[in-house]
Amino acid sequence: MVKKLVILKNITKSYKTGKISYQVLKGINLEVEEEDFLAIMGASGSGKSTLLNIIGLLDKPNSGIYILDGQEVSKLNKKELAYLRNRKIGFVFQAFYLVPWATALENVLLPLLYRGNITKEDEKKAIELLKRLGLEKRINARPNELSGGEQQRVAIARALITNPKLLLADEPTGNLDSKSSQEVMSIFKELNENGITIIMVTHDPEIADFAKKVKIIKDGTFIK
Amino acid sequence: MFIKYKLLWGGIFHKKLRLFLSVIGIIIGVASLLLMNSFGESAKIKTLKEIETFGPEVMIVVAGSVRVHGGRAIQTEITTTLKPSDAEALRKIKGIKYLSPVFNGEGIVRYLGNNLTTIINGVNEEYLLLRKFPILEGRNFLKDEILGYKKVAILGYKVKKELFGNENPIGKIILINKLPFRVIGVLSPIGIDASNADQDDQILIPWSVAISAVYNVDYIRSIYLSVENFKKIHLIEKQINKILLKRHKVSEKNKDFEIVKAEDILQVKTQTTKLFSTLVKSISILCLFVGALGVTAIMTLSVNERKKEIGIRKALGAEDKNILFQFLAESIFITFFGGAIGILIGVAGSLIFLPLFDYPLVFPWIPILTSALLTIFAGIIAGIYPAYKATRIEPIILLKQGF
Repeated sequence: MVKKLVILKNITKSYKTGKISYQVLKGINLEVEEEDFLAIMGASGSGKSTLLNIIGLLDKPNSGIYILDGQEVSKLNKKELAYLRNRKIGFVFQAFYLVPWATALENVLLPLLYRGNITKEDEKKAIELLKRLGLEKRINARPNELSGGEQQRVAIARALITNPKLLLADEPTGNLDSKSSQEVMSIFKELNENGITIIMVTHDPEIADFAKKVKIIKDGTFIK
Repeated sequence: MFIKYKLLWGGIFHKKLRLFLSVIGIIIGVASLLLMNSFGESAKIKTLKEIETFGPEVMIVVAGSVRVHGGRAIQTEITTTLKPSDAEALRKIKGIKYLSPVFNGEGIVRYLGNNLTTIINGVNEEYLLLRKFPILEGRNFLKDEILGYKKVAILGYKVKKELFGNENPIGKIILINKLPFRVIGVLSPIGIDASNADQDDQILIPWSVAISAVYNVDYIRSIYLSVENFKKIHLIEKQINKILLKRHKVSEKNKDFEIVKAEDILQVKTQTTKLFSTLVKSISILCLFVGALGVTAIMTLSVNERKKEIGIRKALGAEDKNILFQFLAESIFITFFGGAIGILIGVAGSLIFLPLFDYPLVFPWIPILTSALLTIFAGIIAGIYPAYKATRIEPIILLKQGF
């Protein structure tokens, strides 16, 4: 039997803006198996980013159950969530979010800073990753010296340095031209084939085509 | 290893101009604090040195009432009631070592074509011993010269230089207020003493000649005396007081003389120095904390600008405490960086300005240490708020393009 990596049961989330409260997620149920590649599609305001925040342990649901890799996580405190984010999840964002004053190599090593130490082996591993992503000549470049595609590949290397089980991507090609988008998606596909579970949020059907499964969210619930 | 610290603190150097601007307040605060501290230390040593030239066993009976102002004894009115006979009367007190009547006034001195105005001090042969003024050339007065109204003079070092240059003055005749005096000695350089008088800019002559021939008065201005054992100085002071009150037929309230001891001058001097340095130190500390406030402002700005960086660090597994320490360390580092520059400037300033103002050169170890500790403290104070603010930033800001 295939193991379930992510189980969401009846997840709700609302935000308050002044006195008005928005119900953003209205009872989300989702199961993601290991080695899955899921694309979540939806229009702006559909709740897809909020859902990704919750799956990525960046935010807590108001109610419902979230089991990540066999552990109930919806009631954990901030410190425990930070630990799990560091160990289990890799993030790739639309805007890359590289630290501007650090080199590509240093950016890749950033998650390991919060495990305590950065060893020579870690450095070797980071350089390996950058090479694998075709950035062997950009190891010591700063983000502002890199193209969008290169920055996103650095961000992917940063997500992979911790060997996460789950890779979360938020519009990973949103800031990229079509050639770079294709490159990034083929990297994702290869990673998935090597066993990493990917959950990706996008509104681009072409990009969603790379995924094994597609779910569409609208007004806080899945419609497909 | 290096990458770890670069990732922790690399952000500090990202904006170098701003880093510098944010620490200017700290630099000024620390530099002035250090400068004032070393001036204070130096002033203390200077005062002690000056007091040494005016030993703890010395007392002066001054005619009239004296106000001690800014470490300087100022005679507020001229009184003519202190007579040479008073000096003779005091000599009978047991325990007095040296005693000299003193009459001082201005005088115009001439030697060949050279003219100058200086202080003429009428004293006796014990004065030099009492003041411990060493003689460079020639000799001290003889007792007979004092008693015999001999017109002989001992020159202060500057006076000798100005009148004679490198010429040997011993035995030469100079004119003091048109009266001829034979030079018998020259004093070694002494400098400014505790009463703020330049002891190199004076001429000593017998007091008997000073009051009779030069100034034509029947009184003296003061009596210098020293005691055998300075522990008994208070006792002897009381006896002097008693004798003079009786001789002048005055009461304690309207007495026409004043007794000044080295101790009194020292006290006033240290009080003035203390007041001044406390004031300046307070201002410097204030400046340091205004500087710290500047660092707080810049760090808060920096935290706001680096929200994304903080968000991504948290998303990647940073806990609140990691973020707190990172930004606290940045504030402390920035403040300390400013402090280090301030210390350099302060030390350089001390080394330049102390000799310039004729203060003894002291290397300000303790001020450096206190300044360093204070800046670390200021850094912590400065960093608390922005670091706390940084921990409040949540990683969900990274995905806030609509819900």
